[in-house]
Amino acid sequence: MPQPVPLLSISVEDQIVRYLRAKNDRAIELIFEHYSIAMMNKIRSVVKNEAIAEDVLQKVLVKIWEKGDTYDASKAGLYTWLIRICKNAAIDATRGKDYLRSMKSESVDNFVFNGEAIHQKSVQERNSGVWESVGQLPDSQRSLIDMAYFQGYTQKEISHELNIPLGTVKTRMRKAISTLRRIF
Amino acid sequence: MDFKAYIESGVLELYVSGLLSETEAQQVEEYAAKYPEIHQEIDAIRSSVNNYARNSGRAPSASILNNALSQIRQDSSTESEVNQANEPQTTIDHQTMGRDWYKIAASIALLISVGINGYFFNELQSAQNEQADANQQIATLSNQLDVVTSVVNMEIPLYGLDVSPKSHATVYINEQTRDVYIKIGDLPVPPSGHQYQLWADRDGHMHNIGVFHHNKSLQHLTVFDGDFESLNVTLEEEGGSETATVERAYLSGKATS
Repeated sequence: MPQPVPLLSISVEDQIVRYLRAKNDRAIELIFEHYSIAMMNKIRSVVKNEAIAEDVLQKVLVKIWEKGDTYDASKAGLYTWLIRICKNAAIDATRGKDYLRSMKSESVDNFVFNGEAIHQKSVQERNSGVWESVGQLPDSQRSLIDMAYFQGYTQKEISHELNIPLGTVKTRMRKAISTLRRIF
Repeated sequence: MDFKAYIESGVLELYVSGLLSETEAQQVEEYAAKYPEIHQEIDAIRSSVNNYARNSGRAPSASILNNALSQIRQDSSTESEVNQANEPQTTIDHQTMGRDWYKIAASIALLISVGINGYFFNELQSAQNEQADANQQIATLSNQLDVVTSVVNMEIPLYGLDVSPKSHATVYINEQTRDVYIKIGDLPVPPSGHQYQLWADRDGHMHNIGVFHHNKSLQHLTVFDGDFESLNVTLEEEGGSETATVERAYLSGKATS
C-alpha cells in the first residue's frame, strides 16, 4: 500500500495573495477557478448584456493583475476586494458608448438574456448526464439558485420576482443550497 | 457566538453569491477570520455552487481567462523590454585618470571597495540561501495548489454520516492520471491503533483506495482507475483492512460524473 505524502496546508485566499504580490499570473488562474462565478454574477447584476459582461470580466482580471501588489488584507477580505473591482468596472462599462448602443438596439433581448442563457444551459443539461443530478433539485430551488448565483438578482429583486418577503429570501436560499450540497 | 443560528440564517449563501452589500460582506469576513466553522461553511457552499456551475455549463467561458492571461503576458514582456532599453549606460572618462594623485586615491578607494564587497558578498550569499528555501516552499505549495485547483482534478466533497454528522473531507481525483488525494476538513482523532481508510463503492463492492493520516495536509493516496458510485471513509485497524467495516463509516460522497 503506498504511503501517504503530506503536503503543506494553506488557504486558497492566502495563496492567491502571495502569487499576486510575487507577480505570478497563477494568481489570476486561481481567482478565475474559485471566484469567477460570483464575479460574473456581480457584473451581471449591473451590466444587462452577456457579451459586455464577459468583456468586463476579462478586463477585471487584467486590472486585478495590475493592482494586485497594492491589495491590503487589513482593509478588506480578498473576495470583497475582488467583488468591489467587479462592481466598479461594471458601472464604468454601463457609461460606455457600446453599452448605451447595445441597450438601445437590443433592449428586449438584453432584458431577457439571462433567462434565455439559462434556458439554453437547461437544454444542454438534458442532453448530458448532468441532467440526472440537476433534476434532483426541485424547480423552485433551482430558479432561486439561478437568480441569485447566475443572473445577478439582488435580494430585493428575488423577493419581488417570487413575491416573498425579503427576510424569507435568505432562509429559502439556505434550503436550496443545502439541497444542492447533497447533490454537488 | 451562536454559530448554528448565524449559519442557518442564510447570510453565508448570499455572501458567496457576491450580492451582499460591502458592509455586510466585510462582517461575514471578520467572522470567517475568527471562526473556522464559518470559514469552512463558506468554502463548502462555494465549492458546491462551483461544481454545479461547471457541471451544468453555467461557469464563465475559459476563453475569458485565456484572453486575460494573453494580455497580461504580453504587457509583462513589453514592460520588461522597455525597462531594459531605459537602463542607464555607464561611461568612463579616461582623461580624468591622468594624474598620479588620482591613481593613489583610486587605489585607496579600491581597497575600501574590496572590503565592502566582501561584506556584501557574505550578505548576498545568506540572502540567496534564504531565497532558495523560499523557492522550495513555493514549489511545494505550487504542487499542492496544482492538485487542488487543476481543472483536470475532479473534486468530490465527502459528508459526515450518522456516526459523525459534522465531519467532512474533500477528495481530488486527477481525471488523466487517476491519482487520488484527500484533504480532511473535520474528522475525529482515531482511537489508538486505528486509521481511516478510503473506499470506492462500485457495483455494491467496496474497493480499497488507501489509508491516510489524521492531519489537515493534502495527502496523495494511490492511483485508482475505474468508475464508482460513491467514495466512503471507514475507521479501520492501523494499516487498513481487506474489507470495509461499514458499521464504522464516517464519510461518504457521491461521484460527480
